[in-house]
Amino acid sequence: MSESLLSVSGLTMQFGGLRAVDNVDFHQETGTIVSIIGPNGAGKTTLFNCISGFYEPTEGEIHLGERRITGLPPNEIARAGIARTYQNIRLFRNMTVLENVMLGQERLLRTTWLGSIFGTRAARRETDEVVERSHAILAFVDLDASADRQADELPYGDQRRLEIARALASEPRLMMLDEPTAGMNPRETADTERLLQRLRDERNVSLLLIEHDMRFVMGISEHIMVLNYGRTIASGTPQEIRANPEVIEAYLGSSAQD
Amino acid sequence: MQRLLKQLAKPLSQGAVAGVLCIYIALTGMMEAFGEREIVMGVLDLGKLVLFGPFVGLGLLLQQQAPNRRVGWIRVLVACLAGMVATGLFILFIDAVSIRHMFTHASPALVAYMTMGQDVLAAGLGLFAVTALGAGAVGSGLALMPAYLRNTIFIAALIVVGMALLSELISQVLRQILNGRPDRLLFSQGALRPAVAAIAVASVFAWRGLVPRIRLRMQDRLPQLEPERQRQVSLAVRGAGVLVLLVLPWLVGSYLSEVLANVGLYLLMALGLNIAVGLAGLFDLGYVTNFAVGAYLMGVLTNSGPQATGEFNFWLILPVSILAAMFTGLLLALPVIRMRGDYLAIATMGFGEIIRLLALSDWLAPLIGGSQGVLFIPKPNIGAFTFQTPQHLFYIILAASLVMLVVINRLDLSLTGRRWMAIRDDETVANAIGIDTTWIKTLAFTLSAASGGLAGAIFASKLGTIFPHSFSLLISMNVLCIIIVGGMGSIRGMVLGTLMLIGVPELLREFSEFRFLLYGILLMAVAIYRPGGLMPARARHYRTEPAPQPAGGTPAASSSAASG
Repeated sequence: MSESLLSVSGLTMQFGGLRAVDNVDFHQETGTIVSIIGPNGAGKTTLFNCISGFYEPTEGEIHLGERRITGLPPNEIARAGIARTYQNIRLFRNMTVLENVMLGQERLLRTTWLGSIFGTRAARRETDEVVERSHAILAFVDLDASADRQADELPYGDQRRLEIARALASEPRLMMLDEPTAGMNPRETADTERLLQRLRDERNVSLLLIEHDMRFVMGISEHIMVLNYGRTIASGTPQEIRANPEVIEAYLGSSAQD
Repeated sequence: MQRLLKQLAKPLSQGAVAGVLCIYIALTGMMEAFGEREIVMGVLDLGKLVLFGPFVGLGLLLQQQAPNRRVGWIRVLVACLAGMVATGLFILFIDAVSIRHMFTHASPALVAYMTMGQDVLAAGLGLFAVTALGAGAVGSGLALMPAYLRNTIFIAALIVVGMALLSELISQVLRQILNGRPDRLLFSQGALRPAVAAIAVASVFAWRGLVPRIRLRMQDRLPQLEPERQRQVSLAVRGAGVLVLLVLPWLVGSYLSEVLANVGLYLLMALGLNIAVGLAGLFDLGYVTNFAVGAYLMGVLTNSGPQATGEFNFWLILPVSILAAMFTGLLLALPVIRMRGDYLAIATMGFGEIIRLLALSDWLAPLIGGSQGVLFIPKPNIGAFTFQTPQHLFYIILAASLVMLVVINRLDLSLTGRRWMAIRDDETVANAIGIDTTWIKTLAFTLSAASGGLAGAIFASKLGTIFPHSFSLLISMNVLCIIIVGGMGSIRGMVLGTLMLIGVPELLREFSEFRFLLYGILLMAVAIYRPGGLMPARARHYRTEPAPQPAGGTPAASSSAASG
């Protein structure tokens, strides 16, 4: 079971004089849920953006399984099997819920523009399959009743779930979720926790999270990494992290120990 | 006192705006030009409509927004007075001082028109004032009556004005169907006869009185149609539509067929540009490039004039023109593909100018004629039959438009269309879900160019001569206007937009001089009141065929997952 999924080594991202991510190493195994925590500005989202190809890291290597994906463009990284969500929800706002999930399946599609123009049998069949799969995925996240609504008409919590559904639609090996519970009330947070566990258990998706809600993180993660000023200051199981003095200091400030 | 002023500030300023609008319409010459177009013989002309229309509008708006009737009437009165004073002062001013060296339309004739032909200026001003107040009162009255009645009046007014403005079209069709001059019963020199107008209004009222009852009955029956029957009905409607289009050129005659042909050419361009702008969100302001490439290729390769190069057949060069336009689209996409938004618009606008200057240049003159243009481009033919008249050419354009409509409709619903729309909504995310945005955007430019090349090729053959000045920036702008007014990404919107922006101005010759003023007003109105266009794109719904599923198929899996 301890098959290597994602390994990041010596990753550094420099913006002018700022080292947003500084020599980070970590390793995730297939089928696990890993969380990255840390104060605001610690470099968590920058790390995500490096992995998903938005930034080309200044130094370091990223591997997905055996494949080196460092510096590949985002679309190829998506095709390699990494899907993600965003801290500030980024749906295709003017399209329907169903269309958003259809688009999520891009890496599985074979239809080309010629097929679209001539309406070939293969293109039509693929469209039908995509629509059917999309409905199934929407049912999985309990959004199928809203399939024909425009994405930006959905309530906030549903938009978050739709973003997860879109990511799930690509049948990814790794799903990266940037603050999946941000702005949620305790009940929605509990629902999200259940959904993420089902993603792993029923859909075999490995999860990499950025999250601020400590109870949520401690409850769901098998492994936690703590970033501060771009550096890894701790890494381990939830119990280890909870007991780590450096983490407590980073979160509560040094004065809290007095 | 201060409170009173504060209360009245809004109606005063709105009245003044209406007055300024009147002055503007007068100074641009629109009022006099429209004054020559009678709507109902001896009763109303178009100029009076634009002179007093703003006052009706004031009455309607202010009364609707007022908290109660009394306040409403006071506001309307104040606003109308403000508008009248502004317009009145303007009339006095241009009567006393000649400003014709700056505003050629500020003539005694204009004064006479605005004072309704009264000999004594004071009497004329008085009549103007009374009419303006009356117009305000009519507007207020409209605001106070039930909405159904108000809408009925609006529809009646629209039909009367529309009939008068389209009198030529209606006359032409009537003359084709019936013998003699049946149109004389309806119109006299383009204006509706008062009795006809009265009958039209009465029939609208009668119809609107009956509609609710008819609809009640229909609602009982319509949903009972089985899907099979519904499909048959929609097929029959479409067939009838095509049939009407087929006989249309012979109904409306040569001039209007020419208009329809122009509408068709612009529709082709709008459908093409809609791929880039409406679906993929790429603001291409250089669409004329593709039109020019198609036209010049057709012109140069088929003409028998001084630029004769091969004198090939129309049908052979048609696909070549399309491919050449696509190649140009591809070529121009390469340097700009990484630009977004405004930068893209400016860069593509540059391409449009470059192509015009190239066509004009001495460098290419030996090949494409420079400012002399390309002459003697033959009309298309099939065997011995030549598509000579506008009616004949209409069919080629109709066929091209129908083919394009089918293709664009397919793309619109296809997975490729989804990719374009994803890029329009959020390019970064589109890239991050696996879409090769560079290629898909290049594809949008390339395919969008095809339709422009097709339009250009037909244009060259239809006109017989092409000159560089036919390919100005204005064409790109017109096509873009069609898309924005019609509704971005909406195919029905393209059709409506083309009819409105290209067809209607051709029918209303009075408007043609002010076409761009009216475009401007229309664009602003659409941007403010209907940002999605007149017929916004509808959400695409996907229904898979409800085929019988083998047991344990996807639906079963999904339902178990939902409950799990």
